[in-house]
This record gives sequence, structure tokens and C-alpha cells, in this order.
Amino acid sequence: MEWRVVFYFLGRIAWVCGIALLIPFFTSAAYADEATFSFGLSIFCCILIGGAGWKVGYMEEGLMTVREGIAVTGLAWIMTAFLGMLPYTLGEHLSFVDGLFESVSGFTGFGATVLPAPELLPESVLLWRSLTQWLGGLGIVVFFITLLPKAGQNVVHMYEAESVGPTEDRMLPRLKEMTEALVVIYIALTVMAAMLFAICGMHAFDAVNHAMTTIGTGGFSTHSDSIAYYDSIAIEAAVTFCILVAGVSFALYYRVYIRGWKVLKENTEFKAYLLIFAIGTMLLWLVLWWDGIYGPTESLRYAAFQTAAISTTGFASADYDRWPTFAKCLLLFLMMVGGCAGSTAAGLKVTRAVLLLRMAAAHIWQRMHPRMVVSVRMNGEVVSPGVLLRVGLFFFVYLFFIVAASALIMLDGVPMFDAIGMSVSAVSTVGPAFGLVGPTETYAPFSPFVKTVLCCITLLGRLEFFTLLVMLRPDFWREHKGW
Amino acid sequence: MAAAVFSVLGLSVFDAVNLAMVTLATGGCYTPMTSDGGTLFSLAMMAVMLFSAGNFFFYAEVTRRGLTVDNPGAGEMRAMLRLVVGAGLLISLHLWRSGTYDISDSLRNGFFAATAFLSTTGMNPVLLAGWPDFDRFVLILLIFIGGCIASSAGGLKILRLSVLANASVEELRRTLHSRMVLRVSALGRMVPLSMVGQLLSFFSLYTAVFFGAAMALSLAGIAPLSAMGLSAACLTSAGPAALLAGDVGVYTSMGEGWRLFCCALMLLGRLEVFSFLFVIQTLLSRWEGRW
Repeated sequence: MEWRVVFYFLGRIAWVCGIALLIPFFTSAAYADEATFSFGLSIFCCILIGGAGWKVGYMEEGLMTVREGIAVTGLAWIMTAFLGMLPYTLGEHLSFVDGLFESVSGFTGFGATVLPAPELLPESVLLWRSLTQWLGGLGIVVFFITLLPKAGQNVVHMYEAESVGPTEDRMLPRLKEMTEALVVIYIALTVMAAMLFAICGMHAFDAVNHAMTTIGTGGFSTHSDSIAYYDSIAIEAAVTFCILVAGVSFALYYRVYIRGWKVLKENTEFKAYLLIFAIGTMLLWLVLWWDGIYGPTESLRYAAFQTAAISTTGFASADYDRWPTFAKCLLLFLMMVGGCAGSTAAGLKVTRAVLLLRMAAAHIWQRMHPRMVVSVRMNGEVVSPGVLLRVGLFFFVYLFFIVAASALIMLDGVPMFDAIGMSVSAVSTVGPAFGLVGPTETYAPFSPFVKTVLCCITLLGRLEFFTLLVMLRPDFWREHKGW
Repeated sequence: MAAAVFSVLGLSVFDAVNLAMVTLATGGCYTPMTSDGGTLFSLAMMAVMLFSAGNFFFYAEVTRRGLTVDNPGAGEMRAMLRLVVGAGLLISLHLWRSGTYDISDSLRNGFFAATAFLSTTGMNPVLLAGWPDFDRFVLILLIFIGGCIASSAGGLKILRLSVLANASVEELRRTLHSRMVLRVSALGRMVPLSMVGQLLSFFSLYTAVFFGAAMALSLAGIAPLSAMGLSAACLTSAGPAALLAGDVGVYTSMGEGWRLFCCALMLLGRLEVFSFLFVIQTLLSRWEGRW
């Protein structure tokens, strides 16, 4: 392990975090709230860590290998979570564990909160919460590469360690150009969402915050009642639309820009994503209407919003914990599927769900016709057996961690279904779940043990397991063997 | 042999014969009246359940050549025993720590439950009523794991899960060495990659059927956990397991249509999903051929 390279990049990422902290710092100064000092101190810590990295670190072409790339990305996420915690703890808004939980929940887009009434916090702290989700949504490394004056071959491994999805979705040959395009699309979508929310009647500050947490598919709200606070069909429709937009691969938007709308028609994942949304909404609508929970129009309103929200952000417009059993099971399933690969949403991803089903169907077909050559296709192209193997193993690991986290949470006395909901929600970075962590509840009452388990599992889920897991292998940290 | 042991331990001949049949077949419908019949009886039951969850080819090989190192089923048998000991200790320790039983009862009940659920036989759910959620959850996981291949137990089977676990570890290594050729071995055997792919297809289909069935069963008006428990019980052929997760009256509270659905699910689980879907596909294609 070339430690100097790791320190070099970690130091610079700490500076990027410090730059991000300047936004709430100036907001705090403008609002003249009590958080200015804590933000100033947090920025000072970032500068110090960055300075240490600058002093100790060293970088030259060729020193960065896959190993260093993974180490930088994994450690950067952990370091950023701790740096993001500082404004909460230094400002005495939250304890150490709660602050760390809120920060991890922010950067990973989990969206679960320990704050019973976020509206009581200063505006600058609320902005920082939303900003963490916005930065983490696209990825800390993506922003870092965009801000780097010169990003060569070295940072490719960092980008690959952070990127999610079963296949490489490179839309441009040069990494820096690609990350710049991604950031531009991301900013454009966020501005569009903020304007849309403001037009629909949201206060400007709320609109900016909700736009960041919606496009980042995080789910933090400036109100304890989440989107239900507004009780407005227009706002719910706008949020639903923006969530759906954020759940689509950003690379696909770039292709639409280059090649036109026909790209959408050819994309299997996009069609499957819309189909899941349509079927989920229809089933939920029928169940809510059939059971007499709401009238036909209200059922459709809540069904459409919750179907979109639960698979990505975790916003709530109604207390779905009171809905019928089928509705809860459906929401749990949607939580697992998540959004498209290459979007800010986590979870299993639609492309993987489609590939898994096609894999199983191909296998049945193969059994019926043993001499037939059966292939799995996606977007009209044959998917290689290696990719299919990786998708299957990812699914296995994904379920393994849900099961393991559920068991650990249950050790603390949490009821079984609530624990399963919590772990599915954490691994898929959704936020609320059912029962003790339903849409009207917070994670505040849980023990530090449960919160720590959730922090670890959320980070694992956000980085799609292998990046962080490989860092746990002792041979990962050993020196390279020379010949 | 099992019937004789049960008879010697005090059961009537009729009960002993019935119990031997349902225990060896990992059926479990006789266990409610026998699972609290004393330590010796519990040990005998555990031995029979373990035997029934073991690889029958292993037994055939042992009968033919004696206990040899190169017996192909030995690895899986060892893994099963390790699983029973591990799960038994975990449950016993938790039962004792949570104050459910004293140390001796915790050990007895913990190991009995671990054996009963790993072999997908199941045990009297009334006995499990006061158990903490953690222990019930571990038992549900055990029925999903199931026994060895070529046994009478249901579930996913130890060998399959072992292959998938080892393949995941190899995939983890490939994260570091992207050009590495994946070599998967499990329980002392090399597994071709095509086989790993087939296992992954089976696993994903099994999970999809489990979730789909749980979602369908939730329409019957039972609690989400009961729906999941019932779906798991039908798929893994471990009937009493349905009552682990939900209310005890789950079977009686459902309508006849839902019981028929459970029947189809049991067949699906018993024929290991692919075979069942294969039968349906064949029937459909024949029907299509008539047009």
C-alpha cells in the first residue's frame, strides 16, 4: 500500500469538504444564527486535515493502483462522514453517535434522522443536512475529480470504486469530461426541481433544500412531517416527478441530449423502471381504495407518491404504516429494487432485478432444451456470463447483509418485522421503514449499538459492499511484494 | 431403527412408528406431542433429525466403504454439524442471557430447536411462544438453509449456499485483481463457473418466489410477518415454521382459496422451483401446440 498517495488524496478531499462547509458558514453568517462558530471550527478542522495530507502525501503518475483507489474512496467516505458530523456535535445539536448517524445518513442518502423536530434547527444546519445528501448523492469522489485541476489516469480507480451498478456506464472517454458532464446534469436537475417546488408553493429555502435531497435521492426534509407537512397535491406531484427523474441513470440523460429521445425507447432499464412504478402505483391504488383507507382520487395521489418515494428518497406524504399488509409488503419490495444504475438511488437497482429474472428464465429454458444456446440480453445486446455472475453474487451479498443486520438489530430487542424493515431501508438507503421507524417516527430512541450497525450497513450499501469489504481483508493493507 | 429407539424410550408402538416416519421424512407433524419428553428423548429425536438432514449418498458410501476421507458427502456433513453446533450455541446463549430459561434448559431447547429447524422438521410452536425475536429469526434462517443435498430436508441446502458464499469471497478478491480467473471451490470440491451461474439462477428464483408468495399471502389479511413466515414454511416444507413469525392461528384463519395457494407453494418448494416451473412450461407449450 502506497500510503503517501492515500494521504495525498484524503487531504485534498478534506479541503473539498471544507469548501462545501463554506456554504452553510456564509448562510449562518447571513442569518446571524448561533451555528457560525461551529461551522468555522469545522472548516478549520478540514483545513488542518487537508494540510496534514498535503505535508505527508505525495503523488506521481503510476503510483495509484486499484488498491490505493479503493483505499482512498473507502477512507474518504468514512473521513467525510466524521467531518460532516462536526457541525452537529460542535454546535451541540446532537451527541457524537447521533451526529455521526445524521452525517452518514446524509452522505449516503439514507435519509433517516434522529432529529424529532428539524424545523427547530438553525437554517444553516438544515442547509448542511441537505447539502450532505446532495454531495453524497452523486458521490464525493465525482465532485472531487470535477474540482481537480488535472485528473489523469490516477483517479480512474477511485471513480470505479465509488461507481454503482453492474456494468461500467462510461458515456465519455475522458473521466474528467464525464464527471463534469454528470455534475452539470446534476446541477441542472437540482435547479429545475427547486424552481418547480417554488412554483408549486414551497417556501424558497424549503424548495432549495428539498430539491437537493430529492435529486440526491436522500429524503431529508426541513419539516418533521416530511412532504405531508404541505398537504398539497401540486407539491406532491412535483416531488413525485423529480424523484422519478432522479431515479434514472444520468448517463442516459446525456445520451438523450446527444442522440435524441429514441434512446429512451431502446433502454430496457428505463422501461422496466417506469413499468415497476406504474404497476406499483396501480396495485397500491387498488389496495388503498379496496380497503376503504382513502377514496379513489386520494388513493391514487398517495399511491403514486409513495411508490416513487419509497424506492429512492424515503419521503412520506401519509402514514403508510397504517396501510394494509399487502401495501407494506409491496413497499418493502420497492425499497429493495431501488432506482436505475447510474442514478443517485441505491438499492439492488432495476437493471440487476431485470437481469436476475432473465437469468432465471434463461435457466428454465435451458433445462427444457439442453442443447440450445440461451443468452441473456439487455438493451438488445448479449450480457456476458461474467457480468451475470457478478449480478447474482451481488444479490446474494445484498441479502446476506440484510439478514445479518436484521439479526444484529434484533439483539437489541427490536421486533422482527421492524428490524427487517430497518435493515432493508439501511442497505437500500431509503430512510423510514415500518413500526418503530415508520414515516412518523425517528431513529432517536435506538441504542448507540443499533445506530452504529445502521451506519456501517448504510455505508456498505452505498458503496455496493465490495469496496469496503475488500478493505477488511488483511492482505489488502500489506506492502506490495517485490520481485 | 428410529421406531425401535422411540419405542424403547417409552412411546407406544403406533406412536413410535408414526414418529419415526415423520421425523425421518422431516415432516414434523408429530413433534408437538413429543418435543418435551425428557432429555434422553430429545437427544434421540435430535439424532434422527440430524440423520434425516444428512446426505443419503454419504450414508450409502459409508455402508459400502466405511468412513473414508474421500467420501464426497463428508464436507457437507461436517458443515451441517458445525452449523447445528454454532446455531445451537448461539440460541442457547441468547435464551440464557435473555432470562428465558436457566442454563441447562437453554442448552437443551436451543440445540433441539436448531436441529429441528435446520432439518426443516420444525417443533411445537407453542413452546417457542415466549422466545425472543432474535432466536426465532435464527430459526427461520435455519429452515432457509435446510439440510444437505440428497436428504429428505427442504430449504436451499448447505452445499448450494456454501458454493455461493465461496464464490462471493472469490468475487471480493476479484475486486482487487480485476483480471483474476475465478476459481470456486466449496467443501473440498471444485465447482465449475457454469454451475455457480445455475445456482445463482436458482437462488434468485427461489427468493423471487418467496417474496412474490409472501406478497400474495398478505392479501389474505394476515400480518406481514405471518405472510413471510407462511411463504417460508411452504417453500421449505417446514410447516410449523409458519407460526414462528406470526400468530399461531395463521393456518385456520385463512380461506380455502389461500390454502390451495399454499398447496401449490408447497409443491413448488418440494420440487425445488425449477422442476415445478418446468412442468408448468411443458403443459403450457403442449396446450399452445393444440392451436
